[in-house]
Amino acid sequence: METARPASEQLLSTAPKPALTDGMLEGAHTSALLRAKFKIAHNAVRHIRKHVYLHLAAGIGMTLFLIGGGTGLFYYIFRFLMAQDIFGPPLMDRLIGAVLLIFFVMLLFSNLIITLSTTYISKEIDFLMGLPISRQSIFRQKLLESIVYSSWAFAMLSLPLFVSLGISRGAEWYYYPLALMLIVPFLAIPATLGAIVTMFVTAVLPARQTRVLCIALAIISVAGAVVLARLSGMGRLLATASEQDFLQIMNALALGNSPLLPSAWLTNALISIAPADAQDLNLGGYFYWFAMMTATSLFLLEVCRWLVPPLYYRGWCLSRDAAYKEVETNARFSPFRMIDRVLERTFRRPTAGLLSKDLKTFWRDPSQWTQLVILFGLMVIYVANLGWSQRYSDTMSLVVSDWRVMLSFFNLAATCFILSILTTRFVYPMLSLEGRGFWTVGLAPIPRSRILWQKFALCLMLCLGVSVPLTMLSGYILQVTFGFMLVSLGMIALMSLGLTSLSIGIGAILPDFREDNPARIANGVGGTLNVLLSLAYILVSVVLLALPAVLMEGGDRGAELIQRYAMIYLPITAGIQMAAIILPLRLGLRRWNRLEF
Amino acid sequence: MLLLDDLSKDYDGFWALRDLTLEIPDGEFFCFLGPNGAGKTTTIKIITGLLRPAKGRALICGRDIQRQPLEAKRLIGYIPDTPYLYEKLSGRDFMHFVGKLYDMERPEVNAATEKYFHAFRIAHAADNLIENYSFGMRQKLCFAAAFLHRPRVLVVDEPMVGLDPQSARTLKNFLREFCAGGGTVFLSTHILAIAEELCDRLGIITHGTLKFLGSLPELRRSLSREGSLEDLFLELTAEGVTDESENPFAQGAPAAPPAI
Repeated sequence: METARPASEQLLSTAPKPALTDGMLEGAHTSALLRAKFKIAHNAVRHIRKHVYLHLAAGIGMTLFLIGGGTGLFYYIFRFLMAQDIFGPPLMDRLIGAVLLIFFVMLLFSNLIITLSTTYISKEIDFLMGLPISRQSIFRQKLLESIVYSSWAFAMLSLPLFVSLGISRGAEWYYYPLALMLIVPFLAIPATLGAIVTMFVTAVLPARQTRVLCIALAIISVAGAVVLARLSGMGRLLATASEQDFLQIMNALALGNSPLLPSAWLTNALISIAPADAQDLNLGGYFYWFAMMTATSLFLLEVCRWLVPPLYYRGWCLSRDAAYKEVETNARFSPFRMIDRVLERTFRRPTAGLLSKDLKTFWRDPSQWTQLVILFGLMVIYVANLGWSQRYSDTMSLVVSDWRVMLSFFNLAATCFILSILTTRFVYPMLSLEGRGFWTVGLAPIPRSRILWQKFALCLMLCLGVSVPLTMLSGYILQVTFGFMLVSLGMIALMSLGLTSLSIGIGAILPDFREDNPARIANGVGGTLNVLLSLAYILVSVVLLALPAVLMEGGDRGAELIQRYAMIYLPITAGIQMAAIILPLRLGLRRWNRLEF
Repeated sequence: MLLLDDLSKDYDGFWALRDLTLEIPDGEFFCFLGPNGAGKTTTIKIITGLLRPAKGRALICGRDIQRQPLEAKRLIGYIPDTPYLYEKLSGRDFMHFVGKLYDMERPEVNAATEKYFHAFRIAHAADNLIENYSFGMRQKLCFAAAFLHRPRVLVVDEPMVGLDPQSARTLKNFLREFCAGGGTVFLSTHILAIAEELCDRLGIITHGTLKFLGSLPELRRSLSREGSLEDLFLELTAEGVTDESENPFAQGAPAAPPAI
């Protein structure tokens, strides 16, 4: 009797007709799924009919700005370090290791979070699980998608780092292609590690109960940071402030070069082909570390492959079961009932309704919680670094003359940077998250502008709630003067206003109503534009603020310059701040009022 | 009362709606029929203010939806064809949210929620997240939310899709009572039996142009023939595909695969 063809062959025209091995069929399925994704992306680009040149110019401009600006910044730092005869080059190696370690940790978190939402929570999985496609193919395709989403920013950031390292050390021409080759195996390691951890966690804990997972991750990350700091000797060093010595700084940074870390392998590979001294060029070393990364990533991929059959489907089913158990209570004294009452007493009813809806949505949305972990991780790294910077202030003053002044402004810039992460991750997606459900609000008898103002007010409170305590804490750690603390607080309040306005404005101008995952909205074109404009705004604002302080350090000549240019400086500074606050909101409001659904 | 005056709408040069003029008085049940892509949803979105017309105006009880949007929106209830809702709210949360947007008191919202949730048989899921609702349950929640603020004009896009027979009957009764109380219903549907059963007047639209406006007997008279609304509709919207060779199923429907 003739055997019926497998249903998968009937559904997927790409599947070859003769009898196939499981592996060939999986390959055909993966290829069909990837082709569909490619087609979606291709069609999305093809259908940008309006302002196509504007989109193109913005894309090219953003890329050039990011790569060019990043290269300039890294080159400036590297050139400065290379100029310090004894300490510079080894410190530079350690710094690259430390930066790549931070990248690696962020990539790991980012992959964990995006794999969780893409591979378990995404609605597309419901559709794919119903098709006669192996789970291995689904997982593989989703893993690739997660890698692209979570790693493209690293790929963009690594280019300036690699290029500036090559230029500052006068590397040979082949350094550049060889350095680029390192990106793929390096990215595959945190991606596969993230996928493995996600599979284990979701097999025990439902993917939708991410609040618990996020809190667990936050605790693990803090505990991990403490253990690593102890292991590397940082904790001991932090406890002995009197031993202020350059070698101790090197020891403190040694963690980034630990041979167990893939980020250290990448650092070693880069330094092998771009050494401080040309005589140390070591091509063999490069290929050794390249092989180490490639072998590890392939091994982890294979581990993923082993784990998919026992864990993936189990975890996915558990996430579905948990969804149906999530029954909301309407008890008289439930926290949301109490919040609702407070909101109704404080605001007009429609505004209270919008606020209540946003708060409930945030609390119940796992993807928002996973984003909080990124922010939390960043803040932990930042505060830990501040402690370190303060402890080694005197030693660093030997290397960099104006270290203390610079540190105060770096701190302000870093606080603003964290704020910009907050505005990009949480504030920018807020209008997009109204999504296709917008008809409910669009139909209500309230002006559309009120929706925008409500989100603006909510986000401003959120930003001030994070940035003001952070500025006070960092000021306390760095022991800044009372006057500088006041200036910093004023500045951070102004920056909160500007960055919130920028994110709400861009969110209204470039909303993404098709996406319901805030992490993916933030990673899109609008989110990237928001990051770049926020960084530019922070840079300009901090430089403008630092300028008089730096000039004051220059004595009488500086004071004279301040007096002479005050009439230009003040209006320019005020103008930039006013423009940053008012312009995005005005443009955003205009666009928001004219949006069609 | 609903008045559409010379409405037109284009999408990048493609005219989805051309010179549509309609007047639907208080208490009338109006059905808007047409094949896929005829311009029904575009018309509805213009009436509800979710799209701006390229030309013309839509008046809800005398209020222009573009010039006096807040007054006009207070008078409309809208039930979309695809019920996209806030997934992370529960059904009850959603009712309270909509109630607040319409500036309603909490006890009033509570009473209406109980009434409509029981009528549409979703009371058991009132405190579940909407993301766990089936398509039909979402549709029912949309009905409950649309009736919540007691609108004067109800705009309904494909209402029966996803509804079980009992809920469909409940909805029909609600709509009839709504019209009997002086409300206006503007209902767009593909299901001709609903139009045949419920409507006072109907409009048929193809390629963005109104082909017919009147009652069912008037439609029969205009086509000079008897028959069901389905026959009349097909005749009026025929695209001239009469050649059997052009029919992909002329040789019969696709066969099921052999048993395994």
